[in-house]
Amino acid sequence: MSRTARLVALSMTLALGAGVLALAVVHAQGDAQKTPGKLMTLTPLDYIEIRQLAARYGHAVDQGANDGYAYADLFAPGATFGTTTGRDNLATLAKRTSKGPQTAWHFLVNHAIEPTEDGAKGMEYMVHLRYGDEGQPNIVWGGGHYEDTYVKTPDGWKFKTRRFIPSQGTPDSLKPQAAGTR
Amino acid sequence: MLRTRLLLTCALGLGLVTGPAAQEPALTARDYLDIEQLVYKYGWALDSGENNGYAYADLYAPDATFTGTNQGPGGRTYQGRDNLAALARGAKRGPMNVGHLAANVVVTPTAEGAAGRVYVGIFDPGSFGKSPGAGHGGYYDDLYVKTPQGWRFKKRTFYEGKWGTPNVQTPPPVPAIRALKEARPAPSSAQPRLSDQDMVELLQLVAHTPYRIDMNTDNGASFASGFTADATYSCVLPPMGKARPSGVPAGCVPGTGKPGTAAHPLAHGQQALAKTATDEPHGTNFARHWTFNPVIEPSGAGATGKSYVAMIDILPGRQAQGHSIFLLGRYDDQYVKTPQGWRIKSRVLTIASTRELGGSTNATK
Repeated sequence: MSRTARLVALSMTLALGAGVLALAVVHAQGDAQKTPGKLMTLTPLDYIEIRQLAARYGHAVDQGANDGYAYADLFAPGATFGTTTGRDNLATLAKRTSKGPQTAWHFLVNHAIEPTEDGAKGMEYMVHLRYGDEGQPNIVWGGGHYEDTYVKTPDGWKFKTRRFIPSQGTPDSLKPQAAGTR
Repeated sequence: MLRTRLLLTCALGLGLVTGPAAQEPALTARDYLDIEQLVYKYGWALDSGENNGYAYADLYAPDATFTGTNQGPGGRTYQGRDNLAALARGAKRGPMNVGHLAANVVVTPTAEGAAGRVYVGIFDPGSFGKSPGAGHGGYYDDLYVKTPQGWRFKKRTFYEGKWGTPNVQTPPPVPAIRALKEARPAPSSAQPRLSDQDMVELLQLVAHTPYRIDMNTDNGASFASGFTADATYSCVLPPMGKARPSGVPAGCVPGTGKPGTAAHPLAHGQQALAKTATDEPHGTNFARHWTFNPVIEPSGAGATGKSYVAMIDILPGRQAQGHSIFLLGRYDDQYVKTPQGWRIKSRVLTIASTRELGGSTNATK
């Protein structure tokens, strides 16, 4: 075997080895070997990626890029937003909701993330700030919170389930009887 | 050379090294955290006008620009430290001027550094006699560059939010989400005093706290668990003469128009903290405390943090009709690392403005 041939053989072995390893890693991330009672360990980069996912959500739903598919692709295959599931349906939902490429409407903050047995879950507050609707005043349009589960796919963290719950109750109706600060 | 090419061809042939993936720009976790902190510092520096506007100017790299596409028909661009500092100067500024609230911070690595897109609500801060309001807002399109002093803005462009057809040329959409590749830290990078893990945990502590007040399913136990055993919570009112706003805890003390101190806490210790949370309106699916721009710095004893808070009363059944902002303010926190994780040792809420002192000119709707 010539030196070059030996090198090629070596590189193939290494590459195949790396491939097997890579597949194993993808498998581990995709199916996240669920151990009952044992929470997944999230690295700082996992937290950052999950926060990036939620940050992109606001832009994707408001600006409706790529005919709504920028929004749909934030979800894993089979994932749901409320009762909507399927890439095309999610894209249609975003396209219908979008107010155009110059819109900033869904403002998401307070992104609290916790590991689960097979991924992560999280919540965010969302306030709708209506800015620049022709002829209408700028207002706080609405708000509430999201409840999410996330899954790590080979393409990164994605939503597995997400639902929005408008804020319920008013400060007066919810004021504890005994507080007496009013 | 030939061998290198052979190795590469072989690897490519097996599809294990894809072209774009191999050259894909990447950032470290620290880079993402630092860029996010830069974005959050922007609001503080612009609103406060600290250091005669230079705190704001110094968030930019030397040759960097800010463009307001909403300023005049063609927009207006500012460049140079003095010109940028002048943007962050004026009588209304100061540490209690809560105005620029950033959200949805998207950061994407590029060959030259990083690009970003960030929402901003530019609230009417309100004052005695004037309620806070939603103001106006939109998004920034950013380029960031790593300088010897850390990450800085290279280019920031503001687009006023507009429904329907754009009235200015908009930038390309935010790139799709993908798995983050972590870059190797530069060998010269000094070890930060707060690790990536510390920063993530502290940001999570700040993010979790509003749920523990607004939803509070356990009589304040979760809220108190975010604090140390000897922690204090203080609330400082805006200057307001003899008036006293309703709807704020009885233990809030009069302020001077500057960020308050922990000298007169309304709660001291976990039991009192739990009661403080429970005295606040709370319920399943109730959302009221929106926190923005959390800036966290290492300190001698652990870390300090500051964030803007907007308490917004979302009234059910009034979607699209306008909801009012109960108050705008700032939290000033001290954190310590305990064996159970990071905890708040002291939190001071200083109220900048509130609807209850807004008089009849309620501009919030």
